[in-house]
Amino acid sequence: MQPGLLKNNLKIVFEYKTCTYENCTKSAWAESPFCREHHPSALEYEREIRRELTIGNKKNENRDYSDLDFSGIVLDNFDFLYCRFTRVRFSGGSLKNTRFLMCLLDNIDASECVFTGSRMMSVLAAGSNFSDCAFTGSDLINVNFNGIQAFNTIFDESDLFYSRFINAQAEGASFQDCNLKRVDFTGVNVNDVNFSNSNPEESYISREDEK
Amino acid sequence: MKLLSHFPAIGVSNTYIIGSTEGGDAILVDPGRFDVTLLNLIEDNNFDIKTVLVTHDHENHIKGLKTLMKIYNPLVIAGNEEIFEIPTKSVKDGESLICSGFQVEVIEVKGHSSDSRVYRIASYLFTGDVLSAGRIGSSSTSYTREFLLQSIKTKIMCLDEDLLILPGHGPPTSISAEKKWNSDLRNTL
Repeated sequence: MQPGLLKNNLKIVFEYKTCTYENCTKSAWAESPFCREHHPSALEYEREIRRELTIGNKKNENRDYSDLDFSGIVLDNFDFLYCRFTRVRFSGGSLKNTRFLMCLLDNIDASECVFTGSRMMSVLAAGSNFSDCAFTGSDLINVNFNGIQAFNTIFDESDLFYSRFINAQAEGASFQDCNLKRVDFTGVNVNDVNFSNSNPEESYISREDEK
Repeated sequence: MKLLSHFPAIGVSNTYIIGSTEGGDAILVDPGRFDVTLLNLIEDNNFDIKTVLVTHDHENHIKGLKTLMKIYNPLVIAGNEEIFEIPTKSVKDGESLICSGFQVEVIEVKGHSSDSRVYRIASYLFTGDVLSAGRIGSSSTSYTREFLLQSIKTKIMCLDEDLLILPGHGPPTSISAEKKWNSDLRNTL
């Protein structure tokens, strides 16, 4: 096969592009060719994406929303498949019963968000701020929560099977009546975490548990 | 380019499929278990699995290979020359191949298993058991653990920070996330 015919040339989900502005090395912003700083009409572009998202189809696939400001947005009952939200600001938003399948939610600011009844599966959410959030009644399966901030966050009545919270900060968090089977809390200070009516004995609290 | 992942409830090792948006020839990484869900995932996307990439030959990563061979008869690419008596194309560090229309780069990272291979396709890195979110692979001795750590450091962590790591077990991660929160690596970087 000739190199020009390689399928790698097609649009790639989670493709990382740099800003096309001369000599700029920053990541391109959402699906624009520029970073936010070099976008000729950044505010207008951001407003348009937000408007399109909130009034359009609730099922979104293979979209890149990275670096956008979605503060206070309402995305209840949405369905996101293979979407990228890297560094998005969701603070104060409502994402009830929303599904994220194989999405990138890394380094987002989702403080004081409502995620009740949400479903996350095979999601990268490392390094994000989920402080003061509510995830009550959610399925958070195989999610990378490593290094997150989850101060006073409520995960009650959730299934967290196979998710990882390595080196997360979770003081004041609540995991009551949760499935914690094979959840990894290595490096987490669990002294101020509520595990009532859950099964932390089936999780990894420290590396010694694995031996 | 379409990336699909399959997370079976039994075995809990990840299988990935890479193909074009229109369907056709596709690559499957680590057939740990071949079940109806995986079959539907392939067929619903009109994929024909022409290539299987095996990250290493531990049973929970290859148990579905025989069934896959019967249905699709793909070329199997691995570190060893045969798996379950199925002949493979054995690949070594630094090789670059065109598989099902995609460029695949091979990185040899020993320490978890002698046949461990990491495959890079575009922005994705399929690491098998070598590296997963917050952890490095298990090793049988302190020597092999040190060997694994050094190999990850010199061959993986020097790559683009935005590369998406798709491990054999557990959720996706990135090079930058591993640099910050992987306890095993933090002390060596």
